[in-house]
Amino acid sequence: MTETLFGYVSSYGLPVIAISAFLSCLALPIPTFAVMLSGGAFAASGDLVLWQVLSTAYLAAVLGDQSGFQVGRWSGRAAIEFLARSPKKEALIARANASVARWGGAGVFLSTWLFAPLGPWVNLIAGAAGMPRLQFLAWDSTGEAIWVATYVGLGFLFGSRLPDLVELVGNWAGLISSIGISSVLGALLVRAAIRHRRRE
Amino acid sequence: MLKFFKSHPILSMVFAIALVVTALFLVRFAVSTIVWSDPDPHQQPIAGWMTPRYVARSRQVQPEIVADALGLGRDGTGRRLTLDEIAVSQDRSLEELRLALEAAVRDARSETGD
Repeated sequence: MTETLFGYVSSYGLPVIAISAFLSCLALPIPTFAVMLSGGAFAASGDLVLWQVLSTAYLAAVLGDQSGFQVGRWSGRAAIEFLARSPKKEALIARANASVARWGGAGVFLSTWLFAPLGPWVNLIAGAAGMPRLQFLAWDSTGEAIWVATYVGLGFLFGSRLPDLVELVGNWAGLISSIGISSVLGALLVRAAIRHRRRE
Repeated sequence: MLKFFKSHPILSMVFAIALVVTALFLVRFAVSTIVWSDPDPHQQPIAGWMTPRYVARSRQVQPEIVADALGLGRDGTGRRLTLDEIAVSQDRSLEELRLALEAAVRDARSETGD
């Protein structure tokens, strides 16, 4: 399957890079990291031009994130206002909003590159929770710069063995994300256990 | 302890699944690291998605050697084609192209004494 993807990148070049970077920010399951790595690899071989690959991927990714954020703004606010009618949930939502205000910037930043699979969902949540647009744009565009430069750069440097590189990087990214998710869940469990003990 | 997990069944289960997935990725990452550190970089078979220039780079030979082996003209346009597309346009099988390329790469290496 990834080989088909390499074929698309080498045949159609920049449009494929743009479309996949944009759509993956909207939670479509496209292995965009593999597209970025092959974009870098074909730039190194001379089939594509490095600065064009970098700028296309970057602009498409930031645009995609902005679209997800906007969708969150439109649909999320209505949903939240509906939920907030019950006073119990209102308190919960106020707490969620407070934590987005406190941790949201760092969350958006990390979700663009370190925990990339969470990216689309963080965009929606940030939009729904009413994060200021400029704050979102600043964190998001910084994070995407790291993501695009890292993946295209790795492809450029080590892409002469593209299939092996995609395996290696894909498994590394999966490992980091699953460690991150496990840690958050573990922390939630520990917190619940402490409360559980206090009650006993 | 067990009582606690029973009182939080969903969170406990999701956490257990996350741990299993993490372990799975750990194994996969370890395997792909071993594959990556294989000292022979020329094991990668020539495939249909590759472009002539990609083949040249991955086999560390001059692009001209690959272009000659594929019978491509050097018109300077450098249009991007995959081996699959070249095979179709020349009415040859991918396997034929692959054999021609491997032979050309071997010849080029033996000339330079690699």
